[in-house]
Formats: sequence, C-alpha cells, structure tokens
Amino acid sequence: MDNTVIQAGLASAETAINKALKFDPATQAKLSALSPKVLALHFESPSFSIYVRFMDGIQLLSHYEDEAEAALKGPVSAFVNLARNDDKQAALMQSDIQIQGSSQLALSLADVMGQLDVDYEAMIAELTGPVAAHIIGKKVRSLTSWFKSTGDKLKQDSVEYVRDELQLAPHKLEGESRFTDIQMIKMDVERLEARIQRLKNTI
Amino acid sequence: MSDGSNKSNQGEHTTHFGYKTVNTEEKQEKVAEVFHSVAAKYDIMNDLMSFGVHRLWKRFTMEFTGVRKGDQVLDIAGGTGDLTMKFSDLVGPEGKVVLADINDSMLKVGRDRLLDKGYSGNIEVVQANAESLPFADNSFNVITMAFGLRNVTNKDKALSEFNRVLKPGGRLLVLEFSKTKNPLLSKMYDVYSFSALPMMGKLITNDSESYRYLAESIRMHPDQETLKGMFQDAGFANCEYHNLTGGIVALHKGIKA
Repeated sequence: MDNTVIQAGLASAETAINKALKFDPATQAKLSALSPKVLALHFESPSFSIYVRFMDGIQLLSHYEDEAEAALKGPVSAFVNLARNDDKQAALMQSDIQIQGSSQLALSLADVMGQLDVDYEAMIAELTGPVAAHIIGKKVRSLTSWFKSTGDKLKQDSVEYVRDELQLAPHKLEGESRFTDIQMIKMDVERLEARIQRLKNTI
Repeated sequence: MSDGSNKSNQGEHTTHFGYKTVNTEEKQEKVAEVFHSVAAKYDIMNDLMSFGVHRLWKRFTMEFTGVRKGDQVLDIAGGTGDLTMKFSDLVGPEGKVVLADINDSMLKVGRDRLLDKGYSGNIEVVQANAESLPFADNSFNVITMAFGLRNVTNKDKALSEFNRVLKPGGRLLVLEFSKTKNPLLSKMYDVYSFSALPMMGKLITNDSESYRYLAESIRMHPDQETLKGMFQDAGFANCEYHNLTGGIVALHKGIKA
C-alpha cells in the first residue's frame, strides 16, 4: 500500500483518538505520564505494524527508527478481543498476544485503557449545545444499554442451547473438573517418572 | 554523479532554472524572486496544490528522523516552519532546532507563524545558503530539507555541506518531488502541473510564472536513483529512499559515516 494512504489512515485515527482523549482528562494525564515511551503493535494476518508514541496525547507512526520500549505481537483478532474486553489487563495476560520488552508499559497501558471513560456528551455539546447533547446522550445511553443486554442475553442463550439442547459441549464446571483431573494425572506421572529416575540412579 | 551544473563554451558556469538554462549566479536570484513572490501565500498554495497531502509527506519524513529529546536539528529550506514545529516538540527544552532558509521573505513568514503558534525557546531562525552553511563541523544530529533541494544551484556542494555539519551517525533526510514510473499517473500529473498549477498560481498569488517554474524544476530534478548516488558521493552511508504517492515524491535518507 502507498505510504501516503497509510499516513492518511494514521493521521485520521490519531486526530480522532486525541480529540476523544480531550474529553477524558484523567486518561490523557495518565498517557502523558508515559511520555516519551513508544509501544509497538505488530499485527499478524494481515501483517503490519503501528507504533504508538505517548506525548501530550498520542502519535501513531508506521515506522520507528529506534527500538520501542514494549511490543505487542499477535493476530488482529486477538487485539480486537482485547479492545472489546472490559478487564484489559486480565484479557492481555490470557490472550494470544506476545509481550516483548517492558511488560510494565504494556500492562499499565492496558490498565489505563480499561479505565477509559470519554465524556461523549461533552463532545456532542461542542457541536450542538448542552440541551440537545443531553437528549442525544440519553438516547445513545439507552440504546447502548439495550444492545449490551440483548448481546449478553443472546450469548448466554447460545451457550445454553449448544450445551443443554444440542449437548455438544460440557458445562463450564464439568470441563474445569475434567481439566483439573487431567492436570493431577499429569503431575502424578511426572512424580512417578522422577521416582523411577531416582531409583535408576541409586541402582 | 552530476547535479545539472555545466560549463558552457564561453567558460561561464550554467545551470537550469526550470527548463531555461541560466548562469549559476543568476539561478539563485531567480529562485529568490520566486519565493519572495509566493512567501505570503505559500502555505495556502501548498494545501491547494497538493490537496493537503504535503502534510502526510512531511509526517512520513518525521518518522524517519529518529529525533530524541536534547537533539540538535537543522531544518534547512524550512520555509514556513512545518517541520520545525514538530521537531521543537520532540527535542524539548534541552534540544535545539535551527530553522534556516536562504530566502528572508520565507523566513519572516516562518518566524511569525512560529510565534503565533507559541513556539519559542528552543528554536533559532537563521538565514543561510545550503551551499555554505554558517555552522561548525559536527553540529547536528538530524538535518531535514523538505522541497528545497531542487532549488539549490549546486546540489553536490549542498550535500557535502550537510555531511560536514552533521555529527557522525547523524542523518540527512531530503523530501523532494521525484519521478513516478506509473505511466497513467505520470500523464495525469503532467496535465495537472502544467495546466492547473499555473492557473491556481495566477488566481491566488497573481503569479503564474512562479508555479510554472515549480512544475519545470520538478521535471529537471534528479530521479530517485540519481539522488541516492549523489548522497553516496557526498559521503553518506546506508542511503535509501522511499517513494510516496506513486513516486511523485520521494524521501531520501543517508547517515553520516
């Protein structure tokens, strides 16, 4: 892809993010405290990299001449899941994303992003004034809440259908109990192997 | 490698000014006239002519500077200070950025613009000719020249001056119009630059000739590989270039060995 197109995409995303951060001063201050560190995001399939430089706001780069303080590497889907998850620190640790360099920077960024709370109403108010912004905000909030509860319900119903009606998957507790048993057998085998080895050494 | 300067039969040194051949002394005056004429509306014209894309080209350039806090940076032919402002933020109060240009009209516009935007403290404004820089050897970590090299009479001399004033390991970045290999894009670009640009110049700055010169000077500027060779001849190592917008513009990078 032409570098100009890449720069256009990065510049637009950077402007949008920095504009949004202005309406969440707490997150902006936490990100500024990370200045002048750089976090590399290496995406796989499709393969591309973005570098995030923390300043007064953030800068998005397609190329960075030095080595970034920390790098996150993984498939795009893992990054999307991370972005959607509320507990970003836990999600990062459990995901397929590899952390290279300063894991502290990656984790503190995950923590900051987990607490992101952009005041969208104030953002809209800049364009429409406070009264209209409040009405729009209220409608958006109720719509968001409806989508969230409907989404959660759909997810729960789908899980129950696959597990209870189709009986294609075990219950979570059942699965966990089975995995615990397997883990215990694995440890017993390892202990037995160690004992045999010890006996061999004494003979 | 050659930068286009020749010696005529009469023994006079000649060079090109757009498609015209002029004495080397004359080129500097003619280029100065062009920039005196366009300085006041330089930024508006840049945005109009490139549809704002020059900002993306400069943004890309910044990614390759590797500039750090405390660095000394020279923005030569810096004109209205687009890159200087970005450097000023990056080098911080412990660093220094020199905004240099041969043309005092452009420098005045640049200096006013920097002050209007609240930039001061780590910026110095200097009127300087790229062919004989008024700086000591090994002074700068980074030198950038955006859309300036094609206006320099003796490009080889300018490149060796950049090499002289750079610190060992310092980098030179030259962003300049170049040659596209895409025949369709090339055709469209020719029509645009020789018809639309002078017309825009006439409408906005009442000066179509300066913009005709712009289009001609781009065609006379060395292509990507030639300029890379000139970088190597001037003593730069790890020379490379990156094409932008299909090669209409190229960013050349070299490191002082």
